[in-house]
Amino acid sequence: MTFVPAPELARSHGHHVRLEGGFCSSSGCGATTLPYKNICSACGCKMNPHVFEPRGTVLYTTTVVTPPPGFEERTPYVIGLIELEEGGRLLAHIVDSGTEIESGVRVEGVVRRLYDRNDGGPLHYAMAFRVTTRS
Amino acid sequence: MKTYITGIGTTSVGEHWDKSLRDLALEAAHQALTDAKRSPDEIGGVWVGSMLSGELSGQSHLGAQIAGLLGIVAPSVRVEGACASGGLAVAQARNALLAGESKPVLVIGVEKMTDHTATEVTGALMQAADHEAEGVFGVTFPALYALLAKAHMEAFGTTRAHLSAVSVKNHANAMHNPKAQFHKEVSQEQVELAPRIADPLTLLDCSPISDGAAALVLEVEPTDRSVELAGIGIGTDTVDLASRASLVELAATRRAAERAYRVADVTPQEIDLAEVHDCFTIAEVLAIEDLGFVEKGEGGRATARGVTAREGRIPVNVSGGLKASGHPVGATGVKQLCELTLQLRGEAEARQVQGAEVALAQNVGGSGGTAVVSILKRI
Repeated sequence: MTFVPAPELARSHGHHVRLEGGFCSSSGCGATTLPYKNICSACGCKMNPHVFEPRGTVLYTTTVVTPPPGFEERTPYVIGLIELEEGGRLLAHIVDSGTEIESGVRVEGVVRRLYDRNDGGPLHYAMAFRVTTRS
Repeated sequence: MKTYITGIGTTSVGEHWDKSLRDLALEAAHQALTDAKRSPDEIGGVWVGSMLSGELSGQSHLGAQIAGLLGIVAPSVRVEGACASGGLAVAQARNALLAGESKPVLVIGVEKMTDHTATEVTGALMQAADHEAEGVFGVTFPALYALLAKAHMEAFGTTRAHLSAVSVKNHANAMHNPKAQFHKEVSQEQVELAPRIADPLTLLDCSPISDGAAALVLEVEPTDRSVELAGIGIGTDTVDLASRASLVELAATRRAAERAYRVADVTPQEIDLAEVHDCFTIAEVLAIEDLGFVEKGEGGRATARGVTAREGRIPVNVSGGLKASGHPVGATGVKQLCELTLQLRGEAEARQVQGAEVALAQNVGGSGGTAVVSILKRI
């Protein structure tokens, strides 16, 4: 992968730092989308924008030790498949929680710098998750 | 109408520092044309499967590029579907014959990967993932398959040792394949103690970075050394993993297989051997379940019991598979069919499966966004 160009970064910023996705506008459908897309994959109806609460549970995690370009400095890093409390799943970084993370553990969102490009270009922030400590 | 593979050609797979993308493609293509006893001016069309030629070799426009170098002026098209590019190219070429093309058609799969660092290749391969949902966050392919492995382990009790059995088997098989990338047996302990790539997957669960090409000629009339390309099915699924209905199958494989079995009029029980897309060990476990060779959830245990060994009930990846014979991504789907053609002709020498009549190839793009299942029959 190459570094994200500024226009794409601007377009995706809401998804990356606020989990801007959507719910299907059809009452019987219930499909979610993350990141936001305008048309529902399940029924073809319009998706209504929705900012998801960054809370959920971990389904599975893995620790990446062979990074793509740009991610060398933060390697190793943990990637988790997360089920959000409001519905919908996403893949995200899991931080501050070690590498031994059990399935079913609750996590909460925390915005982190995704990588340092070190070339004067725009910084790239994204929602990561950490194991929830408060009840 | 029936279609036949009348000629095949493959380069050896590995690190070919002295050969370029075009060198590899031409070597395989010339072999296939010679094997089919066809000259370039007899060819009615060329389909070139490649995923990363633009990213890693600075070369797009591969259809005209390769056809021109072969002295072919017939229509020529590049096909891209991540690591399933080769299988898709074969399917498109077969469709041309079914649509009425009467001349022989040529399919070439090619990939040149080793000019770049592992980090660069890892990044390039991530283009096969969903960029906005996965790639942009640094979710690598080993990570995606690691998550699939975790899901399978939790659902069915598949173990680390079951995954290792895939790698041990395929490395042992590649010892008998002179064109394989690795001629080195590995033990279960070596697989498990190899450097972690994305837990639970180690380096020896992963197919390598490879250079290589494969080619075949398809025709509507058989020759005395032909095998029938009896059916191809293409299946798709969401490219991003988080949107999948199930993480313990590749639904694309199941969909592709249903179609291929129906078109070829065979059942999974009739398949004598298979080449499947073991880009990671868990992928072979999923494949043998989704293709109907074993019950869902039993793939790991069946592999450990030897069901898929060369002398087992259904030999899988007798070539060494992607794991040990190498994975030049755009070439892989074509290479699998070349290997099975050798087997059905009885020309596979030390790795020959005796009496093989019906064979199946499964080629996957990404983490299962695309699957191509092809069925060959001896005639």
